Amino acid sequence: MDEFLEQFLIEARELVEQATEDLLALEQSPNDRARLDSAFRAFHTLKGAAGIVDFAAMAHLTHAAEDRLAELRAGKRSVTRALTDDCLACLDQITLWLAAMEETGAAPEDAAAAADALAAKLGAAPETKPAGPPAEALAILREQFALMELPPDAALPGRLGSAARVIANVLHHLGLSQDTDIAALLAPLRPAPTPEPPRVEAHRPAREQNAERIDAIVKLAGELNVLKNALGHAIQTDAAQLPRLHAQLQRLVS
Amino acid sequence: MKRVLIVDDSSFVRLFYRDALTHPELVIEEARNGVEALEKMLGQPADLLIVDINMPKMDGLTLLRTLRRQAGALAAIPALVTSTEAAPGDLAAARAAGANYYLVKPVPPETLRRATEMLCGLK
Repeated sequence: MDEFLEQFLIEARELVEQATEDLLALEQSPNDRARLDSAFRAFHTLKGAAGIVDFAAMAHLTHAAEDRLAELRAGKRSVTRALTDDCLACLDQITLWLAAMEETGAAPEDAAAAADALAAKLGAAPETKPAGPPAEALAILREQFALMELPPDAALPGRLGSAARVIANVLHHLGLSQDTDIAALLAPLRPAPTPEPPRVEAHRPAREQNAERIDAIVKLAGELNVLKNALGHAIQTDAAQLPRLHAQLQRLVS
Repeated sequence: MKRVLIVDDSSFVRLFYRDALTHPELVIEEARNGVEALEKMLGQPADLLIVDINMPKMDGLTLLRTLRRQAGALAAIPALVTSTEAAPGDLAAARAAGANYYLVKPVPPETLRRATEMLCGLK
């Protein structure tokens, strides 16, 4: 396990222990301000640590608990057994996640559902997940295709090779397989076609035309994926293939 | 581990980028101009170049044009250009030189970090 994760686990366990003691003490003495402040700080620090290790579900859950404790501190609500039980349940769940992280070396991937359920008990809305890859990833991918479409010159192999490396790297960053069907990534990269005058074909049912368009996109994505893998391979082996691959790319994106 | 070479004549910018890119899986190296960068790359290629445009001895675009014409894997090293120039023509010139991405200075640390992670393939 790397030192970074090890330190996260050590600190998170200390904070869980601290928050547990504070919440149990609060159940006995609901007006103990020092315990309330200490529990709030523990959840706040846990939230920050979860953010640093990119554990979104844990950050969401600790944020929900932190919000309720903040309301207690502000006098907007009173300490109840139900609330401390819900917060303790969060800590139990976090303890399970930490054990899983110690075993696997990574944040559990199936944590979102448990986090949403516990956060909902605390009155928080489910975490909204962004649809599709982030805009920056799409911008970087779009730039690689612009780079590939430049006219061939002496720098062509280097340009294509670097673009292929970046595409592979962005897919890896997004947690996508290098063999992923990238239609969903490529669709926003292609400009909308210029409207053409009505033709006989335009009278065909829209559903039929859409199906054809989807088929074309899927086919294009498949071919581009093959090209991308070929480019990645070409970097390792034979740069002489690159002009041919570039011509193929131009045909696909034109 | 991924090696990132920051190429910028400003020591402050290099320090700022180094600080923004503190990451357990990144090794940061520095060069003050294109010539120094080429020397370092010929010794040990990086996984990503972060390149300024206006520099003494050899500017960033000349560095990229030179690099992209090298033989083998050296030519395919991804490059992020950061520059105070923000006109469309500047972006086009960087692209023509072989830049894989372009950020306008001042680059917020978080933006630089995210772009670097994606360009290097860090998760």
